[in-house]
Amino acid sequence: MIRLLRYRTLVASLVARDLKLKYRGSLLGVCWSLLNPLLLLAVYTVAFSHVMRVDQPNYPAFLLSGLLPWLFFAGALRDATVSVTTQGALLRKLPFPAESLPVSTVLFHLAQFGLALLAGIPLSLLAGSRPGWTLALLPALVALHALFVVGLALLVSALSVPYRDVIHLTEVGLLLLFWLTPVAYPLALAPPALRTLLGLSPITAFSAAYQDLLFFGRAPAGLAWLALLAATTLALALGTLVFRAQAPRFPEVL
Amino acid sequence: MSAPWLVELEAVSKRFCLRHDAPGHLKVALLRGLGRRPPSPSLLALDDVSLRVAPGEALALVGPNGSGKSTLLRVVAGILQPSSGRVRVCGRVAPLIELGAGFHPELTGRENAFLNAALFGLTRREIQAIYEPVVAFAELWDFMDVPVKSYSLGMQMRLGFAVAVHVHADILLVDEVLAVGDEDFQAKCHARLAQLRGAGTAMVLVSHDGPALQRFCERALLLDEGRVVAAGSTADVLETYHRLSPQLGFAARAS
Repeated sequence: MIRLLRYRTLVASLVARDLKLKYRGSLLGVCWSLLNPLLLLAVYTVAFSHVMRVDQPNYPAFLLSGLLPWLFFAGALRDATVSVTTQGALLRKLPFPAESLPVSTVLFHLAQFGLALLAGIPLSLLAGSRPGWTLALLPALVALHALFVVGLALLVSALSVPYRDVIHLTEVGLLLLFWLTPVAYPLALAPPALRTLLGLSPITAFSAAYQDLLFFGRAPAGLAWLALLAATTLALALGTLVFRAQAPRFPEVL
Repeated sequence: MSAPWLVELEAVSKRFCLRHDAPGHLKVALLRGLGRRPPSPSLLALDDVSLRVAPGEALALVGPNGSGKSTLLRVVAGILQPSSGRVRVCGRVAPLIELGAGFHPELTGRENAFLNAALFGLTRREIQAIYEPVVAFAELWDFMDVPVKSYSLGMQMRLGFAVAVHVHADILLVDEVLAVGDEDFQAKCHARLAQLRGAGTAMVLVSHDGPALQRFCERALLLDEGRVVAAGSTADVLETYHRLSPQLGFAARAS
């Protein structure tokens, strides 16, 4: 991690490269990053609010508050799985810290998440959410969330090198996890037994914190912050440990 | 810096696993966990290699294909970890194993030069300071805002070389990339390398261009099957190489 600080310009350049490659030559440019969540928002709103009639007032605003963080989490993790495996040619030729690959992938998605929030918060106000002063806590939550995602990204990117299965496992796991996280429905609607189980997931904890700040306009309890901090520390520790153990072998096995 | 050597390798060996199931799958790992470990053949790519390079010194590595020259370069660069032995390197290493490593065809020359320099570990401020000299050296003034995909191979290599020789490396590792561009540009490259040596940069060069090595390096190592077969003045080692070459490498093993 300290080596990564010395290579901060590299991380920034990798993020800039990905952003440029994504938007260069497209007419709508950055708008594409917003179109995708908007489309999902429309589809889920019709499906859950009008067809299945989930009991949640202001459903679109509620959905938006959990959907944007989820899309950041899922997109970053999915891209992270291949962030190292596709860069074997580079890793064999230059001695730069391999961590910069998954970390820059997460930051690339974080930049788009930031943009989505800038557009999404006014939209959600329009749709009837009342966040108020709790919005001031958002940067802290986003920072914690991003570190949590970095930890998991380090883990899956390193494990994907010896076990390509991890790429497919993450893809399937994310699909399953979306429905096991109260994003499209409120946690209160889940049956009590399932609710306890869902409540144990750190992804649920992050989702609930975002819904608190952005939709309900209340600050998450101190205990909830502590749980998020513990989950982030654990993810970072595990990710760093596994990545450090695997990284010396990247240039040999890729 | 008090250390007399910028690069010091002591009894370095490198063993590669030649697993055919790599990249592995969970299935393989599970089978291994159950004790059904498949035999994994290995290759000793470097065998007890020791070498030292002082500031301003240039060492040539010669030997047949597959003798371990590039592996040795990667170990010095810190890309590969040795299986045993000790590697001590002082300062920034710039490996020129492939010119313009990481160049993206859709990005402009400017963006690629920036990213490439960042891969060598330079900060934004350092890159801004070397940017003009890099462009001048590569002679690509009019092309820096053009995507690299419209560069010729020669232009790409010129840009890659220009960045690599401007990153203020203490140790430069050159793998078969001395033949860059036309004759004028090659002369410029050699002059730049000589200038860097004069300023104290240590160099390790891999090349099959004997005359160029003799001009540039006073010492050489002859490698075969990962072992140092001969060491000494470049002229002597090249002479030994030519004398022994029927007995070295694949040719010897095939007969």
